[in-house]
Amino acid sequence: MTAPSLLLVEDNPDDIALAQRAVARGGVQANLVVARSGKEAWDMLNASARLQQQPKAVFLDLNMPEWSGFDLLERVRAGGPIATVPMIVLTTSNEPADVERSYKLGANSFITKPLDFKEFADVFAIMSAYWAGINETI
Amino acid sequence: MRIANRIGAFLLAVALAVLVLMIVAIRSDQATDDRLDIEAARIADTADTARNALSALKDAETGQRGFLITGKESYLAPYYDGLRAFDENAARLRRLTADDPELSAALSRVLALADLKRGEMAFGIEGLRSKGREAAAGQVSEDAGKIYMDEIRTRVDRILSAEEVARARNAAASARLKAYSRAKTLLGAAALFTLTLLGAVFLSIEIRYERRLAASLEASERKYRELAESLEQQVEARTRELKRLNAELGAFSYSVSHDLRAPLRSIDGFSQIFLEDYGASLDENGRQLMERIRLAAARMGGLIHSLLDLARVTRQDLKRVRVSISEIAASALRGLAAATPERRVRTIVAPAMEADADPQLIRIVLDNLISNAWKFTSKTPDAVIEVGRMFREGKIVFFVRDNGAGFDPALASRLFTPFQRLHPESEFEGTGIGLATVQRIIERHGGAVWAESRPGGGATFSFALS
Repeated sequence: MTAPSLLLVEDNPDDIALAQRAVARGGVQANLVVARSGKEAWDMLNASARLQQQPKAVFLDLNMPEWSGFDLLERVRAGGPIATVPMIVLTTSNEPADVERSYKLGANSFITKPLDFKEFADVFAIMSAYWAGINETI
Repeated sequence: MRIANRIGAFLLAVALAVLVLMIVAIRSDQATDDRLDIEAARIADTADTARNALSALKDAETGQRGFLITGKESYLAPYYDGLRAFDENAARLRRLTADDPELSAALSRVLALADLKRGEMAFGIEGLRSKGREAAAGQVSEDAGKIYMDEIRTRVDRILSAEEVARARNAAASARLKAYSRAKTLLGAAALFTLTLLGAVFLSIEIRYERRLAASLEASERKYRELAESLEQQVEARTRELKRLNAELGAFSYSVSHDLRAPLRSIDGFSQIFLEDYGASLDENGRQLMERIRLAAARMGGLIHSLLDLARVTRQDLKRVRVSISEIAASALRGLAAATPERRVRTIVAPAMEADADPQLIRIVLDNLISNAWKFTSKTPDAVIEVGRMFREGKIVFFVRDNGAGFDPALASRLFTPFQRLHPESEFEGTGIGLATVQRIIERHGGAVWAESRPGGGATFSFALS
């Protein structure tokens, strides 16, 4: 059986590298698949739905070129086979307006990336493990 | 409105005047005509009656003469009828002339003559009956009766002619009266016309005045409207400018938040990974250098965070609700105790302190004041931090008091200026933005914040909300 996959939607290569390091560092049993824009994530999600290999969860940045995180949230939640995929906002922002808008558009969680790498790695590993494993217990 | 009222009142006055004048004219004309008619009828009646009386007396005379000539009793019937008719007309004449003393006197004289005539006629009849036709005929030829009768006719004619004069007089009077009445009506009409003309002139003056007033009013209104509009435009332009600046500040804050923090996270993350992967091959000095890089990044992160807070309290909408100051203070102290478990601080929080404030912002205030107290008591043995409430000048004042390092009171005013530090960074770390943020939040609540201290004697930070 292959490891469950998690989709990271992130355009900043540094953050991608840090996230990958966090997953490896935390020993999370999951494949971290990366999309570099909201549009790419949308295409990948639709392809995965056709192959019945949907990711366990989507971690998405908000500030991205070619569809922001909000755009992706809105389209995913609008309906279709991928409408119920868990979506976790992972962003630098801690603006109350962004938090509110994310939850209103259907985000499952909102995480402000901690500046401290140890904190960030811990949080990301814990969240990844949680969402990668949650569906198997259901 | 004013014009319409005046026109209305004027027209009503005109209508009333016309009505009154018409009624007066009609009634006066009618009364005059009635009076004249009655007078004319009386004169005509008097004249007719006088003629009838004369005619009746002649009938009686004719009858008497017939009897005297023929001696036949049958001729006496018109004599008696004539006398009776004469009496009736005489009585009527007396009634008709009762109001006119002159006419009444003339009538009395005629009637006295008529009595003489009647006596002469009766005498002739008696004479015929007692002495025979010749004696009576002689009586007739003596012509005494004719003299009486002529005198009567003359007098009656005179009366009648007098009556004619009266009638003419009366007609003249009537004409005069009617002319007077017409003049009255004409005068009334003239008065009405003048009144109307005056009213029209007055109205036109009034309207022209009102128009001029309205025009000048309109002009001044237009001037003020233009002024107000230009003011409004200015206010709008400034408001637009402020909104634009605010939006720019928001965008700037967001960009500071996102774009400055992301590379910081990279610096911290990769230096940490570098330490994890290559720390073993570094000497102690190399590892310390890496740690200093990470500390600097963390400090810059803290600065950015504080700046964002300061920017946010300025533009964020104020949502005031009932908040528990006691709970927020206790929670802040619990957080600090958990973060630095090695510290031993005695904390006192007064129970049931409440205020009407924005919960998010008042939490930033208390976090800042309490973490300051926590920080500046770090070198104080038996540290004590108290959060309490007191009343001053009828206002509730909340305070955070510590027995820590304190500060020079002469420098108190500089405390709330951004990036102003009263202690060297090496002694007490901090960004120098916290108290500026506190002051801005309290000011946005319409309140005031102040501090009291002396070096080494601890510090008390107080604030009151409006």
